[in-house]
Formats: sequence, C-alpha cells, structure tokens
Amino acid sequence: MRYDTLIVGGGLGGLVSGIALARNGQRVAIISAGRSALHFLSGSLELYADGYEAIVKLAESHSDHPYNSVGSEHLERYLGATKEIFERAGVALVGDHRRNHLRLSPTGALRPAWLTMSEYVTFASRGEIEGRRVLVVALEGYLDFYPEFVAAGLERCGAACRVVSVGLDELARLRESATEMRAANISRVLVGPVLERLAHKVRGLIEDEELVLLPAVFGLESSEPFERFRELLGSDVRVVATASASVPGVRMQRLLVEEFTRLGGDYILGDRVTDYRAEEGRIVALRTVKHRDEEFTADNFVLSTGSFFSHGLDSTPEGIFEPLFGLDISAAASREEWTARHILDTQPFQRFGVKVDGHLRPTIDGGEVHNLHVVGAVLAGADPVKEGCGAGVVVATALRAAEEILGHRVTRE
Amino acid sequence: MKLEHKNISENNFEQCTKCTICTLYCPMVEVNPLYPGPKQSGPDGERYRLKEPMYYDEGLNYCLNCKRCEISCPSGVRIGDIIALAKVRNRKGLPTVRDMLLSSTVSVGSVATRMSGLVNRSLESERFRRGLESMVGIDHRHTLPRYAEESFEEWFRREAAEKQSCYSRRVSYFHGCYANYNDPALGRELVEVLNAVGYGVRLLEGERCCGMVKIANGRKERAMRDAKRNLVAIRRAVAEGDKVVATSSSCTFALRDEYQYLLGLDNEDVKDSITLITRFLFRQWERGNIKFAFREDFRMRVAYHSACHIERLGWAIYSTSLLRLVPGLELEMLPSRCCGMAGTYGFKRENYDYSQAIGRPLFDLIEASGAEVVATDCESCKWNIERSTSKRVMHPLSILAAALDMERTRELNGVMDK
Ligand SMILES: Cc1cc2nc3c(=O)[nH]c(=O)nc-3n(C[C@H](O)[C@H](O)[C@H](O)COP(=O)(O)OP(=O)(O)OC[C@H]3O[C@@H](n4cnc5c(N)ncnc54)[C@H](O)[C@@H]3O)c2cc1C
Ligand code: SF4
Ligand code: SF4
Repeated sequence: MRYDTLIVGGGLGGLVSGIALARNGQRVAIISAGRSALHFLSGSLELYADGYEAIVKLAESHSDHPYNSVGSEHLERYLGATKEIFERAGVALVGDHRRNHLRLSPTGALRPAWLTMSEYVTFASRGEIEGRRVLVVALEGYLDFYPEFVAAGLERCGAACRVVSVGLDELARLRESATEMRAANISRVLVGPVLERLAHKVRGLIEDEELVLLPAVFGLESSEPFERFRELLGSDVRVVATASASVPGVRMQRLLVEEFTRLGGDYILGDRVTDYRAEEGRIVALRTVKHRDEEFTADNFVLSTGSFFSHGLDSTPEGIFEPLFGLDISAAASREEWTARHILDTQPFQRFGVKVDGHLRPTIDGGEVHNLHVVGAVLAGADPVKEGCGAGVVVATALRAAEEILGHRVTRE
Repeated sequence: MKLEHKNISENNFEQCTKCTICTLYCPMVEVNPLYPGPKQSGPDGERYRLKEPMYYDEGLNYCLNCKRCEISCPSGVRIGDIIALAKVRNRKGLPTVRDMLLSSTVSVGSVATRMSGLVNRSLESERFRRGLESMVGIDHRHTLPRYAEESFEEWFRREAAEKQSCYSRRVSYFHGCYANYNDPALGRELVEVLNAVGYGVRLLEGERCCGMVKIANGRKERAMRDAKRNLVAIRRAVAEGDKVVATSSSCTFALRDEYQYLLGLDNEDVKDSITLITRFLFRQWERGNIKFAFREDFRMRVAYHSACHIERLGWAIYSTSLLRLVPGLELEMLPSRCCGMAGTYGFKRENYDYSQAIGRPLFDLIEASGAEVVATDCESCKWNIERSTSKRVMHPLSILAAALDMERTRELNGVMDK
C-alpha cells in the first residue's frame, strides 16, 4: 500500500499530524496498535505549568526539551491555531496559551491548564473562586468521583460548598454489571427521559448555589447530552474530571478520528508496526502484524507511539529502548537512576525518550534518518507530570512535523 | 531466554494493565448489563479459570466474538480469543436443535436451494416463523435470508467452468455458504471481474463451510472436521500456484486466524495465500498487473461500513481503496461499529433484542447519511442492514462490477473476447 505519509500511532500526536497533512491534500494512513492515552484525558490540554513565558527560558535550562526542537518562531503560531483545529473536528475548547487557567483534578487540586473542553469547570484564578457558592452533586453508587475532595479543594480557596447525592433506579441497575458503575456506562444511560429525570432531581436540590458541579459522565459520542442537561437545569452547571477512563476523552478521540477519515485518511486500528526497511538514511517501508506479506510505503513517516503506557518506549532489566526502529534515546543507563524513591518525587524516567534534532528527526546508531519525524510523548526531554506539559508538547511537535513534511505552513497567521 | 519472555503466555492475558479501554468498545456491554464484559470475561476471568475451571461463567455466551475489544487494547491482549477459547473449552452439554440448524449452513443450504420456492415462501410467512420460534427458538421477527434457486457451484459448473482454462493466470475461489446458497450473483460477479482482468477462476475441490458458525454454536468437532478438509483443499490449490480468494470477510478471518488460534490448526504454510478478493484486486492493480476501465456514466454515493471481522483483519483499506478508484463514486466512511448480527447470533430468540439494540445507532447513522448504497464485505451485516434500514447494501466487489466497463477492461488486460 502506498501513501504520501504514514503515521505510526493513533493518539493525539498521530491524529493532529494526520489531520494537518490530510487537510493539505496528502494521502495519509495512521496505523495504531491500540487506543491511546486520550482515553484518560483530564479534560484539559496542558502547555506548561509555569506559563507560556517560561517555555522561552527552557532553551537555557533544558536544551533538549521538545519545545526547543519546535522553535519559538513556530510555537506561538501552532498554539494559536490549536483551538480551531479541534473546533473543526467538533471539540469545543476554552483557554488561551498566553495565560493558563485553572482546572480541577478529581482529588480537588487546582492545576494550570492551557485548553479545556468547554463542559468542564475552569477558573481564571484562585481569587475567582472566593465567595462562590457551589453545589457538588455526587451520583449514588458511583465511586470514581470524590465530592468531598472536590468541595475541600474549592473551600481552601474560599468557596462555600455543599455536597449532595442523587440516585436514579436506572443508575442503581448499573451496579449489577460486573463492568461496574463506570463513567462510560453511566453516560450511556444518561440520555432522553433519564437525563431529564436527573436534571429534575438536581434542580430540586439547588438552594442559593450559582455553580453546580457533577462528575464528567455525559456524552460518550457527542456533547449533546451535556448541553441538553445544562438547558434543562437552567443554571450554571459544569463537570469535574473523574478517576479512571474519561468520557470526554473518549469523545475527543472519536471526533478526531472521524475528522481524519472525513478528510480521506485511512485509520487502521489494532495493527502493530513491527519492522521497517531503510535505504540510504531514509525509511522506505513499514511492515505490520496483519499485513505481513504487504509493505506500506511512503515518502515520509511520523512516529507518535507514545510513552511507556502505549509501548512507544519499553524497558527490560537491561535498559530502556524504542522498540520499533531502535532509535537512539536519552535515558539513564543504570536502572537505579530510572526512578526516584517516592512516587510523588520527580521521576527521572519521565524525561526519557527519543532524541531528535531541530527538525524532529531521530538517529539510529548515530546515523541520520531523513524522512522520519518523531512527535508526542515518545520524545525525550519533557516531564509531562512535573512540568504539566503533556498535550502542549504533543500538539506543537505534531504540527511541526506536518510542516516539515509539507514544506509549508499549515496554520493561518 | 530472558526472564521477561518466560512471563508472556500464549494469549497474553498477563499483559493486561487493567486500563478498562476494552470495555468502552464492547458492543454487548453497551446494551446488556448482565454481560461481564471483555476485561472480566477475558484476562481477569482467565486467571481464575486457569486455577479452577469451575470459575467459567455462562455469561460469556453473550460475547459476539466481534473482537472490537481486541483491536482497542493498548497492550495487545488477545481478549476475544481468550473468551472464544474459554467457551470452546468449557461449554457443557450438546448444542440445541436450533444451534445445529443455524450452523449447518451446507446441509441446510443445499436442501433449501433445491426447494427454494417453498423455503422462501415459508420464511416470508410470519406464521411459519412463529412456528420456528416456538419449536427451536429462532426469533420470528427476523426475516431469514432467501435461498437461491440454483447454487453458485451449480451455475459455475454449468456456465463458467469450461472457459476458465483460457486465461493465462488463475486463482481459486472460496465462495463460502452465503455466496453459494443465498447470493450466487456475488460469485458470478467475482468470476466476471476476475475474467475481465485476465484471471481464470477455479473452485476448491471439496470446499466445506469455513466453520465460523459451528465454532460459535459450540460444535467444535464438526468445525474441526470441516477446517481440516478446507486446509487440504487450500493446500492443493496453493501447491498448484493459486492464491485463494474469498468474498466473505468472516470466512477469510476464520481460515486465516480462527483456525490457528481457536482450533489450534497450523495453517502457517498457506496463510499468506488466503486473501480477500478486494485485497487481491487492489494489490494487483497497485503493482500494475491488472488494469480497470470504468464506465463514464457511473454515479453512486456509497457509505462504507467496516464489518467487525474485516476490522479485525485490518483490511478495510483494501476495499475502500478499491472503491476510491471508481470515478463518479462518492465515498463516505461510516463510524466503525458493530451491526449486532454477528453471524447467527442475532437470529436467536434470547439475543434478538440485544442484537437490534446494538445495531440501532449504526442504522440511524445509515439512514441519516446521504448515501444511496451501503458497502460492506460481510454477508451477515448485509442481511441485517438491509432488513433494518431503507438502503441497499452491496459488496464492494458488486459495486466494482457495476462500475467497470467490462469490454474495455478486457481489452486493457489483453483478454480476447469469446
Ligand atoms: C494516562 C495518561 C493520562 C494523561 N492525561 C493528560 C491530560 O489530561 N492532559 C495532558 O495535557 N496530557 C496528558 N497526558 C500526557 C499524554 O502523554 C499526552 O497528552 C498525549 O495524549 C500523548 O499522545 P501521543 O500521541 O504522544 O501518544 P499516545 O496517546 O500514547 O498514543 C500512542 C499510540 O501509538 C500506538 N502504538 C505504539 N506502538 C505502536 C506500534 N509499534 N505500531 C502501531 N501503533 C503503535 C499505541 O497503541 C497508541 O495508540 C496523559 C498521559 C497518560 C499516559
Ligand atoms: S484494554 Fe487490554 S490492557 Fe486494558 S483492561 Fe482491556 S485487556 Fe486489559
Ligand atoms: S468480542 Fe466483542 S462482544 Fe465479545 S467481549 Fe470483545 S467486544 Fe465484547
């Protein structure tokens, strides 16, 4: 099978690159072994916890940070264009890269965020929380949402919170299932008359609160159920991230895949790229498990295979490696140096990953690979947890790779 | 051998990170709270079953074997295979009369085509179907597939077989039960298209049912017997230089993968020679070995539905790439989801409501799409979508056959008109 560009990995990075390339007329395929990290999205894309201005200073402190490979001359343009890219796919985001806002974690912590899906609660600053009257609504029997933590987090900033709990027979029935009362199962029930009944019950519980918070359990396939719920309730209602798989994250993944296929891209799910053929410093073809007697050929290749969770990086007791191409990586050699003792400490392995040059091109045993671009969480140099820079790095490198391949800009000025 | 390799079992169940992604994509979980779901039925349950078979749960029977969990798993756990194997190993008792009937596609098909008038009239009668439901448990709300008056094999022997030796190249065709008894037109189209691009067609000697429905209905022994005979026939054809092409994505999947994983048969030597017709044609076209000339007046708006087993094969791209070659054809991709039929599953009284509930969102999307025709490589999706929506459903090969200018195609491929 012949394409203009082949992308390995169908998560955020692969999809953003793929959409940009397909929109610019390329024939693109994304091959993905499984589903991606988007399924655990907090609802927010994170750019950098210390703010946009701090990214510029990374050039001095962390010269191998992926933001440096993107280049400050491009970065601002990409960040400015991101909202529109998602909007075209049907994902509404709020936020601005020049100024982080605050999102609420499932445990009630306030974390800096760049862009957040519009149904989630966000605050411009801590000061904005003070004096707010908030109703936190738990669903009876649903264990992946911690209303007391959420309330405590907001109260630390001076809000007045009240926690209530509502039950519905339809939800109670979910507990019979061995797949349990998970956000996704709840979202399937919360449609039509059941959604109306929930809205009715919640409305009856509101006293003088101006903000109502529920767990993010609405709309696996579209944002329509939440919009309907908001309409029915008639007051300002928002959702808070849940633990475990994220309903809005699943929806984001689905909408991005649909946008990519609408643009003519081929999304091949459930197939692993296992081997490649190279000639004179260029990748020529890929081989996969399910097309083993067929080569996938292309002019350009993008690697967006994610970090350890997605097996874009792997480890054995002997070392850490990039399993597909055997790309040169940046990682501590000795196993003792991979992890820090306490789980909440800065973990060295977070920054491990594939080394690239200023064009996001990797090396194999020191030799250059000219037509392969590496994007997203598989890259070395960023610590998404400590720096709060997960999706920012992914989106910026994905758009940079698309422009490197096309040789022209993909965003409007 | 390294330590970590010793920790990986054949079906990968210990690779599960408990991320729950598989449960998000299981169509049965979506509609049936009683189904334990892929994570629980697959890797979680396997841990217990390995210790003590009594942990086998009859709830596993709800599984459609659609493998949508499997293609979603980020850790490569063979969830669908784990469940299907557990069913094969642990199923107690004999299959019911109904399950025997539904899975005896060859015996039922050969009788039914001989008496197709009577059979079709009976199947159309609701009273007959209600009788069938109360006697054996085939849901009366299902219109059953019609049987052809003449099987594909009979047509082929009478009309086509003799001419096939005129072609310089040749493939063998695994027609499967559906093309043979219910839709011989599909088989005829296959012969027409392959002949036009310079390929002669042979039937496999002694083709049996692929066995998919027998495995699903707890008749492993019979499936095994059929599978072994098929492999003998396929090996003979491959030894004589043929590729074996099929029109059904489920038969193809069974011959290539289920034989190996579920029946434990070694088909490695012929696996790469078993392929789908759309894959075969597109690859030959891409290599410049065959050419197509299309009718200039051809116009069709098509929505492609990727069936569970072509999705599992990873091969939908060959069918859609082939369709994209047709000028005047507008292609829209339907979001990939199960239609609920799953072979014989949706026919059963106890499954009918779940099956329809699973298909409903897909049917709504199909009704809402601007397409006139739905294209799919699976025969059971075809029945189900046709009876559940207002749209016509065609195999991609049938669309190709309708779009080709056969005469010019024959000329382009240097085929003499006879
Ligand atoms: C659990 C989790 C939660 C996170 N939450 C957030 C958040 O809320 N906000 C934020 O900003 N960041 C978050 N991050 C950071 C995250 O890494 C990025 O936001 C982003 O989703 C990563 O995208 P990616 O495309 O680089 O990789 P992934 O999303 O990991 O996708 C990689 C894909 O490549 C596939 N793949 C791997 N190897 C192969 C192969 N050989 N062949 C074919 N396919 C292959 C995998 O199956 C997978 O689908 C989170 C990360 C994790 C792990
Ligand atoms: S998707 Fe795979 S790893 Fe995740 S729970 Fe299911 S089987 Fe386990
Ligand atoms: S094979 Fe299909 S029905 Fe069975 S567990 Fe997997 S996704 Fe669910």
